[in-house]
Amino acid sequence: MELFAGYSYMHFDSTTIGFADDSNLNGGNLSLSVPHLLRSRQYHALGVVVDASGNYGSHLTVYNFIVGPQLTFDKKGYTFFVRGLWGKGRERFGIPEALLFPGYSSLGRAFAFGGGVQKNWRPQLAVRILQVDYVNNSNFDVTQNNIRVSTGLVFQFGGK
Amino acid sequence: MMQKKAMALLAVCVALAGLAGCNSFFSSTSASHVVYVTVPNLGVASYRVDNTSGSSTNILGSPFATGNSPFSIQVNPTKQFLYVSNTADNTISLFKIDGSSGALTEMMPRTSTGLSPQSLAMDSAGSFLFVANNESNDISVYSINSSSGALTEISGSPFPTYTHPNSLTISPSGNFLYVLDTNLGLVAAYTISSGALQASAASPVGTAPFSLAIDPAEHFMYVTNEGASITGIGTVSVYSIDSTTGALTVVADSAFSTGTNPVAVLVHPTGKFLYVANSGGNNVSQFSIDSTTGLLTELTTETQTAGTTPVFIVFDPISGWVDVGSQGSNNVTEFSVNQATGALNPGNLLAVNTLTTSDPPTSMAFGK
Repeated sequence: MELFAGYSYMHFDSTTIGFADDSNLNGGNLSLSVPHLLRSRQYHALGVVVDASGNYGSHLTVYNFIVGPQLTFDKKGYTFFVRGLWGKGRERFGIPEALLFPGYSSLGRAFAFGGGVQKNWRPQLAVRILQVDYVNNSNFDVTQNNIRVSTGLVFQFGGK
Repeated sequence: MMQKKAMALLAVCVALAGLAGCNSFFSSTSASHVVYVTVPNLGVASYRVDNTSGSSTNILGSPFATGNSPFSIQVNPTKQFLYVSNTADNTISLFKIDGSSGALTEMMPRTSTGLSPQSLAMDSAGSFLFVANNESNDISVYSINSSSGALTEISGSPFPTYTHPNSLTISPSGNFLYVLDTNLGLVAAYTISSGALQASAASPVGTAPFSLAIDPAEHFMYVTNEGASITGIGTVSVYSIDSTTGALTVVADSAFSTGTNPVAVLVHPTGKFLYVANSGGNNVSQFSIDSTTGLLTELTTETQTAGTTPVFIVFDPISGWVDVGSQGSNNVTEFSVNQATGALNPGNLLAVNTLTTSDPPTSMAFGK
């Protein structure tokens, strides 16, 4: 079992909700995975991952909670992974310092696919060098094409 | 073999993710602007419009609530503040415009004004807001705080005018405020000094005049006459403007036929073309302007259809389009303009685009 915690950046497709430009959001990414549920060979395995992220900007907050299968591949101390995830996303829109502005929130479908690479650093610790996910959110009656990039530490529990 | 497949899959996945996001990543330069449309019973419908294609996206939160019966709208020159006249409430709403999203936040309390405020006008510097109070027969004038947008009624306001003032127009020089009175068939001119109005001249115009426009050089005024004939076919009349008093003098042989029920007129900012929205004919008449005489020549291009019951026509200074609001079909039609001929939506240039509102639009303004 692996627990990933790290920084997350999201390039958010805010023109779909009337913004002049896309938005750059910062935040965090947390995921829990069982990477070796089904092992095909010594270095390959199919597992499952549960992923949660929160990305924040001055006007927007985007949460995603998604789950799905993950394929991992180990080579020379590195682990590569690809996955497809499905779940829910919540978006909140507000205007800073506009106390009278009601703000708006929407909960909708989310799916993502992507992958990344991590360096196995110590027996129970790895560094996720890069994780890139395409995240498709459906909120406020529009579909948004977002990119999420994450990096951080992976804590490994139990044996493989 | 399995290793290569996994590597390939990872590469494809990351590439797809990149491709999917490329459009977002590399199209972040702003190429759009916001349009605001007053819609009775709803408030201000707000759209972000692509500067090139005219395609629109609803601003999140739109429509933004106003007071009752929003009628006219003005945005200040810095695009920070938006004002709406609430006809049934006798108030003016002030909204702060969010620069990123285009969303509106109303600043309470609303400003009280005269009875049945309708037309709004703002000077080019954004220092003063003028309000035509249709039932109290006067003009309220407010100074605008450049930081907060707050309105403060100036000394001497409201300024009395003729009965039931319909519309306000500030001349391009900013020297005169013109008040159109449909019932009396006249245009009153006021000089403007630090926002204060001084009656200067009152000029009779045609039958049931409904709207007016002034050329950029401020030599001529164009007035649509909705009641020019019993058939409904209207005219647009040309008047020369006295640069000292603002008084009008009709230009000989200057009653040019329009379509049915001409209710709105626009002079293109180049001063070369004039457009008239005909509410009964559901179309727009197009003319070229002789800059010396002010006289009109109807374009040979076919009159353009513009929804059902068009009631206002405005120039979009950002896109360069001419926008026509139609109350029967609840939409705004965006026309591209042929800069050489003045023809609207000529040939196969930019397509006509339509913003659809859920209620009849009454006025329109532009953000950034």
